[in-house]
Amino acid sequence: MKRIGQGLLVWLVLVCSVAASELDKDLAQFRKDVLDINRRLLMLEEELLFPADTQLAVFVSLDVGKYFSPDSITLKLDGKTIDGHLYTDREVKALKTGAIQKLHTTNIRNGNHELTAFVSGTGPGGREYRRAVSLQFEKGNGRHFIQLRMEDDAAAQQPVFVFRSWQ
Amino acid sequence: MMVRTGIVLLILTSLSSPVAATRIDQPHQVVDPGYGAILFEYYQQHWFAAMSEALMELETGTLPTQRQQAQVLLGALYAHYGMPDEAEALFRSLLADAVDPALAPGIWLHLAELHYRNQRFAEALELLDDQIGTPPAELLRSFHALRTRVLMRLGRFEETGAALAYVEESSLSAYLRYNLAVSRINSGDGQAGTELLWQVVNLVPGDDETNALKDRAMLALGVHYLRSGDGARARDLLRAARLEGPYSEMALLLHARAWIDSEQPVRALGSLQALGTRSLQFEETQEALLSLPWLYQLLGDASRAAAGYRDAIQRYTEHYRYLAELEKKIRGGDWFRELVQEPVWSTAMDALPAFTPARVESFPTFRQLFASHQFHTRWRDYHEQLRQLHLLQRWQQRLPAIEEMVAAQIRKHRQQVPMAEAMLLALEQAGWPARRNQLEDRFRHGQQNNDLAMFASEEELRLLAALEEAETLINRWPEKIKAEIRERFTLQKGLLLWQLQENMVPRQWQRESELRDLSPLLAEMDDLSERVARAAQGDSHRVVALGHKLAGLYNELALLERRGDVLLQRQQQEIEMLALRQITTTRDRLKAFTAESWAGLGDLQNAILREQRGRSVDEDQSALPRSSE
Repeated sequence: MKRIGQGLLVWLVLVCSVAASELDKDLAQFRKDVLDINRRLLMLEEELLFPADTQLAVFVSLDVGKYFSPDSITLKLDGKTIDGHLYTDREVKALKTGAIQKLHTTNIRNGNHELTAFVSGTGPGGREYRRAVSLQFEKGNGRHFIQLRMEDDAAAQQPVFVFRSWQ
Repeated sequence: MMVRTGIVLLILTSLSSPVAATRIDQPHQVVDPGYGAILFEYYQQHWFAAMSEALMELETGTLPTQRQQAQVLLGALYAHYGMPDEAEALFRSLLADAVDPALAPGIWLHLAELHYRNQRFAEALELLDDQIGTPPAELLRSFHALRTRVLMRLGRFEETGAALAYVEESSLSAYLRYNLAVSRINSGDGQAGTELLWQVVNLVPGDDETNALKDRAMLALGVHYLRSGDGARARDLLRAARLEGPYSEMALLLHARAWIDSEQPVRALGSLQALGTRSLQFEETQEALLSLPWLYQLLGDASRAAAGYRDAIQRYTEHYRYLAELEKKIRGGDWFRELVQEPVWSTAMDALPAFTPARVESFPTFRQLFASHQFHTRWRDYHEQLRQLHLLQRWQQRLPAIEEMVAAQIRKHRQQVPMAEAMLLALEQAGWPARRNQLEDRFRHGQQNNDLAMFASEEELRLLAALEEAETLINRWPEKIKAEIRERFTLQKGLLLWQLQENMVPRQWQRESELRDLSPLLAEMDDLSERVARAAQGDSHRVVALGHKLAGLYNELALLERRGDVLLQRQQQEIEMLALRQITTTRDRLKAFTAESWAGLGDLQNAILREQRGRSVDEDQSALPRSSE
């Protein structure tokens, strides 16, 4: 009787482990499918909202962040405010580690434009630091990318804000 | 309790997480903003969002220089996210495609980690030693952390000590040291094991995790000293254990055992009594209830011993009934519902909120289960899947808006394409390029024939016409024109022709430049009309494709949601099964303890009866008249 009981227990454990392994496989397949449909939907949405011909994407990077740590950014395009962002500690940490934030995506017409970024944060010596920086650019055919680079100027011990624009 | 759960989970997850082995913690060069955008999600531990971003960037070709880095990161995320087959396939394809040599060690490390997780330890070690050998500086810590774990699993403890030197002075090292110490003690190398445990015990007190790890190391040392017969050291050590925290019950039990082993049972009473007042949901309390009457019996207090046994039997029985009710609750699904409560609503794209089991009444019953890797994995998977389902639901809600956007594009397309086609037709009919060619031919002809009229102004043309008319009249009636007038006419004509001739070059240049300016205008017009034609035609394909894409998505989302619901139920059943399994184990233990209590009580009563009988015999004998008297 005891042997039968032990046998049943072993059988139950085996059945459970096989079921668990099958469940893990099914879960992995489900995740793959969710990832796939999510990617397709995101791309479809982007294609609808921001067609390639009119798209402008604005990125923000921080290198190295010794003299500046951002608190917020406000973006103005041709004098109109288009976006504002308040930074969390995690985001600042991510930027300091080399990540680049895709801050804003919008549609604009071909031609000349002006993009202005108002940046505030903590500057050298822990002081509050505000700066506005502008870029005149010409939007041509196809996607247009602009990167706001917040860099350290070691010689001046000050942050420098530079725009980089490419298509 | 939660600290203990945290500790075990941290040991199990942080040590086994492939991402931990490959985190790009150090600031590093990011060239492609697309790659930087993936890292932005990754560094914030938005794993699903990072994977989605990576897949999009890889498909849209926005990673001209860091495509392979993004693929390696994606593979690591797959592995961490419970998709090991996807991860392995990606890593193998990268290695087969002549990957950047600087990335290869990292990929081999990921593959070794996957082998380790699948319990293929020998293969993992082979990859680490043969394919990586000497790791680059940035992988040193991850490499040795993994190699140490692999060696421990293979029982090659001597080699692990050397590897630990690379991961010194970090929290990871403390966990590794603890695991290594226990493995060494179990394999018979007590000296080396205790040295490592003392290193953990002597850590500077810190947060709850550190303190709990110190407690745990202290208990492990106590157990080792007890087993090796060094009761005095075990007692000293366990006396310093905290009376609170996740290991306090075990510390109390061991402390009592140390005194009993040292043959001073009376000093074990305090710990066992303290333990007896705690909840019977703790295994240590269950054991203490049985040990306490046995100890009273040993100390000769039979009445307290009997009361203790009866108390134990009663409490075991009550707990047995409680377990039966709990089992019913688990099978009915109420237990799981209470445990999960209302989870924080978030989708897989958001930051991961804390999903801790609710502090329900049965929480202490399952504290070992909650601290287990198996439970943690299922619990995490359950909630992650819930987040994935939330994501699908959100897309379901957004689909009508997307559909409307597609419909708007189709409407716009239907309005604008005919307009564009009409405009293109009008342009074609206007024949601007042919007209420009005609003008150029006329210009060249006039230039070659020195056609003054072609380059004259309006006024000059009028004068030229007047002169020609006058000359015709003069030639018709030469006898009627005075010589003086004729001379004046010749002079005027000569002057006009001289004026025209003199400015001929700038005039021709002006005309030529006007013609030249026409070329870019016409080219621009060509470009514009070509773009309009392409947009009209291309947009048709795009709009049709968008419509097709959308049509299938509704069904796919609905099917996925259904599959997700079924999987969610299966996961719930798995978790309930784990709980039921623990109940069975606890029940078996309670049965054994109850049986032992009854046996103990029986023995005690026997002993009392024997003693009473012995006493009455003695009394009877003493009552008998002595023969000598």
